Amino acid sequence: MKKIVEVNDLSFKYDRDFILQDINLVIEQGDFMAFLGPNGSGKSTLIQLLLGSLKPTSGEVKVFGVAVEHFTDWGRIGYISQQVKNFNQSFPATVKELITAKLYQQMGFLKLSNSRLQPRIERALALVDMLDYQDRQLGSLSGGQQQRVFIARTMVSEPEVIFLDEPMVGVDSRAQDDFFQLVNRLNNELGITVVMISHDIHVVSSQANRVVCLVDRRLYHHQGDEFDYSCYLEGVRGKNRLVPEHLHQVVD
Amino acid sequence: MSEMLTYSFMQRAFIVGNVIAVIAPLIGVFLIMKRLALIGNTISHVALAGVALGMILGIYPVYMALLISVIAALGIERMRKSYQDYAELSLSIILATGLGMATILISLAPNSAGIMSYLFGSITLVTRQDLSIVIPLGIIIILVVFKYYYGLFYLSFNEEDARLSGIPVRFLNIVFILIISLTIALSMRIIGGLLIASLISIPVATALQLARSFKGTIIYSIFFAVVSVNSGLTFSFYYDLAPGGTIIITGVAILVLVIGLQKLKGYRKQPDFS
Ligand SMILES: Nc1ncnc2c1ncn2[C@@H]1O[C@H](COP(=O)(O)OP(=O)(O)O)[C@@H](O)[C@H]1O
Ligand SMILES: [Mg+2]
Repeated sequence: MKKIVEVNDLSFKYDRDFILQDINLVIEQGDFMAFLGPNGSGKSTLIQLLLGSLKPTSGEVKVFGVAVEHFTDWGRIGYISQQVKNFNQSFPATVKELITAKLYQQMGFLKLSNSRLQPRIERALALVDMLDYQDRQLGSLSGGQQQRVFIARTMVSEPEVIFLDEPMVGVDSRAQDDFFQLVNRLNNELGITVVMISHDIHVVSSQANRVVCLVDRRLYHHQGDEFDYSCYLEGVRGKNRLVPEHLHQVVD
Repeated sequence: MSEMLTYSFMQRAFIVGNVIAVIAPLIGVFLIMKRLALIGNTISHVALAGVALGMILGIYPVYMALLISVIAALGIERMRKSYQDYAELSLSIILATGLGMATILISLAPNSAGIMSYLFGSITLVTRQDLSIVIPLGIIIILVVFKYYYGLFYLSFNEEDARLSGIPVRFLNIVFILIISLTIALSMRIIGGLLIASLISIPVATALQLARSFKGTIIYSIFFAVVSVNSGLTFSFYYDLAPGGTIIITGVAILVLVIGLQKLKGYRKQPDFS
């Protein structure tokens, strides 16, 4: 299987204390990987390291076999950050303008939209059922609709892997169901690799084929089917362990 | 109207004015959406120091303003990276330094009356030399915006998203700040260094009242700036007023009018419960 992401001996700290220490991780093509862990355990930090938004204190990250700091082919990667909703709600852009911008690398000499890109934009919007909202201003949409626009933006460059950081927080439960079905379809039918941070234990256990727990600066790997609630409990309770540590044998 | 245009200095003023009416709000939209409006003010005050320095050294002041504002712009871009959390503070410090230097240099300059035209703008003093800089650089600025349009758009939406879409963020930020500094230096002659930042922001503020898209915001902004500049220059000619002031006050009047009309429309849309 092709390696999408490879992390070797990575450690990271923002200032004094290490958030992650000596992490090793391989994400393979077709994986549906879930990151679990208590708030502040470093899940978002890890994704930002994988995407080169943060520089490791030591160790290396490779995406598609290339050191992330030299990676340029960003169309192959999609990302919805935890902060995606914190944009300027009165930014005067339409749905279509936002999605078009993501195709920057596909534009010609002039970085303007052209008719060649139009079908791709419409396909991405159709995927999330937002085709009728192309010309609407972003800030005029509901939270759930904005979320779908950001998914369309992620999908428009036809990525091979998508990173989703708590993508459904603050969205009603129907929109959540729709969304998880969509992600499942992307993974099963289109073979898109999915890396997701979510506290929805049901989704994680039913859809992920690999679960990675972040506890005490380290990763613990589980296969999806052997995953039980132990890791989750450990996650939500943090250091007040109910479950003895020996359950965490690294399955790599 | 036609009488006014028989004066060749007025023809030059209108040509320069209209070029600036296009480029100032064009870059203004990106600048305001990045929430960096203060950069316009900062660079223009530093550019004033350049003008004064040019007068002392006997170098054409517009050239010196171009040079100094480009240097300041590159410095600002560097500082913006190192002091991300205090962007406003670092800008205010550079602004203060620029204005301080400008004041000292003006007091040293042999012809401190001439400096007035760079502070408040002048229509009678626009020279052929000004035309020969403003037109080509104006065209270059417009072309650069076209060339990198969606990159600049994304940069003003979110820099990190832009990077993850393969947009060369660092390079485009430098390109952008360079075209801002060029626009400001070019505009000093006719709008004046103290007022140019307003021509960058006021038409955009007006456009934001009406536009429903980014492209629409740009088009409306340019439209309002063109209207302000042409009516401002006309008032300036007939009533012998400083053009920078008449242009900006016209712009503010349009803004107030548009906000008023929007409010009226809003009231009419309210359901009638009576
Ligand atoms: N920009 C930052 N600067 C300093 N510390 C940070 C920053 N972002 C996050 N942290 C800290 O790093 C730790 C991990 O944060 P994060 O990755 O957001 O956790 P999670 O996503 O698992 O909730 C937390 O203790 C948080 O306070
Ligand atoms: Mg997080």
